[in-house]
Amino acid sequence: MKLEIRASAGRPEDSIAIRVVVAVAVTIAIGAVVAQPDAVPAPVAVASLLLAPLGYWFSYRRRHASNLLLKVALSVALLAALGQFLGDVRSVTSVDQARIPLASLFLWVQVLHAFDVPRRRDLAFSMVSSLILIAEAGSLSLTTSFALFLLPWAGFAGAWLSLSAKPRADQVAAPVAIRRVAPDRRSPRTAPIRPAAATAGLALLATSLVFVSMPRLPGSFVRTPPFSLAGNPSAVSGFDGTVSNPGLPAEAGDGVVDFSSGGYPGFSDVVDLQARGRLSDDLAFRVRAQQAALWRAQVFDRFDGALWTVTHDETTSLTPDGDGLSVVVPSDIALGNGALGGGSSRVVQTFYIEVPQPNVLFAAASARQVFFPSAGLRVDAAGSIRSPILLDRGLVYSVVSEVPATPAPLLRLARAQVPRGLTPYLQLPDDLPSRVGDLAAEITRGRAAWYDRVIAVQRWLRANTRYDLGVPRDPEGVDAVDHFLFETRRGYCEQIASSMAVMLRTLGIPTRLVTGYGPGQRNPLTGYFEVKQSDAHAWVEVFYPGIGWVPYDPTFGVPEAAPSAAGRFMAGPVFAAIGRFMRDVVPAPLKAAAGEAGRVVGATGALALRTWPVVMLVLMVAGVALTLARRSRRRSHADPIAPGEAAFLALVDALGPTGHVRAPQSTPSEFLDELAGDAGLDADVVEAADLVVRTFERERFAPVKPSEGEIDRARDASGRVRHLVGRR
Amino acid sequence: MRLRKRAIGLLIGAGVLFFLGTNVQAGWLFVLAAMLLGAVITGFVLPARSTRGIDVTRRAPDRVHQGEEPLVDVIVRGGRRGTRRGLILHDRFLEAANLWVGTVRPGERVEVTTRRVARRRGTHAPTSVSVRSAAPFGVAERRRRVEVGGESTLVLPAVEPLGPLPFVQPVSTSEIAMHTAPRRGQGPEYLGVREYRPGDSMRHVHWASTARTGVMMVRELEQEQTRKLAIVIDASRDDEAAGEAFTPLDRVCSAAASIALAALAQGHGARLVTGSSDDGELDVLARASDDELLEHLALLRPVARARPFAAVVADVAPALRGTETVVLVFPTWPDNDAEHLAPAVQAVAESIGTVVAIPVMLDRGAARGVSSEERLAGLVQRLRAAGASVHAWRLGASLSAALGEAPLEAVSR
Repeated sequence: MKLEIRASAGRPEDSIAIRVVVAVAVTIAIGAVVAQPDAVPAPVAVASLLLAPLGYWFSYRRRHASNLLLKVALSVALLAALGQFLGDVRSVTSVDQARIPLASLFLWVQVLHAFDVPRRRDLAFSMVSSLILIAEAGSLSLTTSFALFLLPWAGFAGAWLSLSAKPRADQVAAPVAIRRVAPDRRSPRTAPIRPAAATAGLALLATSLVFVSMPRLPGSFVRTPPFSLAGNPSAVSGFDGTVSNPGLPAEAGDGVVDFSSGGYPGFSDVVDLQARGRLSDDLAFRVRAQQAALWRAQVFDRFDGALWTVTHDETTSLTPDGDGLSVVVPSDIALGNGALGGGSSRVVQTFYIEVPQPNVLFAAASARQVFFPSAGLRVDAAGSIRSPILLDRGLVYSVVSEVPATPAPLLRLARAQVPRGLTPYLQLPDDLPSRVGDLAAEITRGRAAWYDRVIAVQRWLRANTRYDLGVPRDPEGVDAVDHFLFETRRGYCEQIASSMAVMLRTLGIPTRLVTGYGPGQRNPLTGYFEVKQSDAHAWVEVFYPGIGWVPYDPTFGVPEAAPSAAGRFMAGPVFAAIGRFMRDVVPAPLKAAAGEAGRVVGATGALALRTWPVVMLVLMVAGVALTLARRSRRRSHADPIAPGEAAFLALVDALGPTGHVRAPQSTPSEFLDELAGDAGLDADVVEAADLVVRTFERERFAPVKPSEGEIDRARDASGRVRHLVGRR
Repeated sequence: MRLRKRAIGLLIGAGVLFFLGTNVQAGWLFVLAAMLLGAVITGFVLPARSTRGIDVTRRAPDRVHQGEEPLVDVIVRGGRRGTRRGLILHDRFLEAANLWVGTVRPGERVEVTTRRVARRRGTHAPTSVSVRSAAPFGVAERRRRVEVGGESTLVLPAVEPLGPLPFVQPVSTSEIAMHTAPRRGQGPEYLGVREYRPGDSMRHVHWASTARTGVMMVRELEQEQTRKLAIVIDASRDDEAAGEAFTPLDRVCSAAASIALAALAQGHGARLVTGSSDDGELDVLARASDDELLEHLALLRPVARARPFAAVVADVAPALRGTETVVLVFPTWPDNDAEHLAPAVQAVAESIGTVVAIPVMLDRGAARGVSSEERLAGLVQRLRAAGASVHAWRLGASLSAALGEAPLEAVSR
């Protein structure tokens, strides 16, 4: 038996440019994966970064060989990598944990593949692999800095697309010669890069348009979202379900715990409406979720005129789910005793902690399932989840929530009757001035349904109060809500939310105060909601019989629980991000001018809408005039310089520096005579000039015009003169 | 506009990334998906721009022989504005070829010179070219047909220098000099009409001219001494489907051209007789120069409703009076078998001194258990018996070798 070794089908790729581009793109993609925290072990990272470029160089050198032994060796190495992967993956407990061995395996596949890429098709596979790697890195990346990898990769991927679009040598006829004759007029310096720049610009524009018009649909098929510890956890000593917030400052002399840059006093046993101060703009955590939500932490039900406290602060342990990876929040706690009769929206959230937080888990309303890297979670009656460890930087946990999404008509139909057991949520301070209740009654006059009353109060607060972090502390002895509503009408979110809760309670509607974080800003590139320390927030939950607790935020509003179709697109966050950027970089006078211009444009638009027939007429007339003007301009350009004349003008231009400047009145022949009379001029120059001049004269005056070949020769002669004169 | 496989790959990739991005809510995957779609959109829009406003001209020799590889220049000019990129020209002139032009800057002229094999006889008019571009990303290709300026090229049959023909008697130098112009005589070739002179035969009176002019007119005929060689060609059919460089008719024309030019070079007159349609007329080319002869053969195409070659040969003898040698050139089509050809050849051999048969052998494989060689052997045997000498021209062999070797002997089966 004879073993026959056949070379792989297709010609080897000889283009060094394509190989370099592919090697660089793959290396960038490997670098992007390696740069993600804990993505791959360090030895694998170093080896892949060194071996992949080496592999492409080796493959180029051996592209014409059969490489049988190499293929065998690569197969063995691949099997070894697979064995290693299977060994590693045996010990993981979730899909998320499998990503590290999977990334390692894929890097090895990429590296081994790099050693045997003889053909263009093999290089295309390499580019596909690099796309997968860059996608993996993108899915792991939490920050915008990933753009440092993505943009160069995109550039090289574009270069690869461009280079590989050129047909291979065997797909076109082998030319005997290719001659390029440059145009007469000198090209601008940017001419060579203009097409590439135009292509890049168009691609960027197309990408941007696609990106902003790409919907963000809900739909997570990931059954086990990520959760992990970051090093050794900070345990809460003597944990019994109480809140521990080490970031809070010590009590001031008057017993009030104020805001500190990293500590929100709302994450504790009490919410003191006398507290003042500012939180920092440091990033508190990132949230990966399909939609925005208020990240809820604690609930307070008792108000004494200055402090919100919790009546029943007992907590119960959360029991693990069947798979042992998560814990389940009992439905009566999670959904409230109304059981969300009006419907809900399932939101899967993963929190990546950036700044140490208290031992309270943040989550969208009605958390049902929690994936947390520590046992011993407890929950209070209002659904506030406490952990036995502090949320340290780097900790990751996930929560599945059923966010209430009851439509307004259903809320309006809710019975206006307080269920038994909810009377604590109607509690009011004993000395609450009656004018608070009077104001609430005045605002909601004529509205019977709870929903209408809630909306009326919320609207009134939004219209008549102002969010202001500069307000001084209230005078001693006053009711904080009364003082806010009738004296200042300026204050923190705590004052605004408390006012709503108290006014609704005066109307007999059960309410409670909730603290947590606002949704933050969605980074349009990473897709994460970036929540700052200063996003710590307070809002209100209102109970609807048969439905449950529904959040209301009189300060900034509650994100839609079930976003509309328009809200599914990234255009909003993108333009918001652009707006924030502009707000930060544009000087105030310019912003004022832009605002003024915007108002003028708006007013003009409104006027145009009112007088649209006139506007249409004007636009049509303008369009016709523009078209005619363009045609006229084209016609004026349509009579270009004849090629013979162009050659002559180029000749005159070339000879100018030698002192032979053509007088305006001299004919071409006279100019030629002048050249011929200059003994110092090269005979080749005069001969070439003679050809150019004669051709030009024939083109201009002779009945039989010079042929195309003669014109070409005249052009060449003109170019030769430029060359000869320049060399001299 | 045609989408390429690459576009499909990018669209699928974008779809997969969008699906994954939706499921893990990873924003960068949406960015990547948008990039892939952006590349598709860009690659779809730009090629149309690259193929617009292109001017193409072509330079090629006006005459070449079949099988030669002349240089053909294709000159591409871009428009005044905008760079054309990734241009490929598909040019079917003489031989189909894809020409890589690449980038053409505004006002630039690019001349691409390639060698083309002149594969088919006949006139090659300046056909249009297909200009295509898939630049910059190769995801979609735009094709546009562009009319091309330039002159046509006539592809003549391939000619093989043969030297003295073994089957034609040499002619003396003085005879060559005398025969440069036709001489009046009693031959079969018609020269014109003139007034009657005493002594003219009444058989030569041209009554139509006499009636028209009122003066006795007679036909003037050429002296038949130059009629040494006639080449009878089977142009009844051809077969281009075989995919060979030369079709059977190309080879027949090549043989006829080579023999005719060799005969002319030796001072012999050479006439070309081709098959006829069913009206019974023969197509005879006489007293032609080299160029006229080649041009005639270059433009020769299969005759519509052709009579069988054997029938043509059977009828050719009266038209070739005075001819010393008749060369029959024919492909070994199934109907050119010994059964049909031998009687016709015998009829010609009885009236003309030398009959040479040149079967242009086709590789048709075995039929009914009889191989090509065996069929040829049978044909040779019968034609020899009919009085012809036979020089078979096999595929891949040179004509001179076929003519130079001894006439084939019959192979007994």
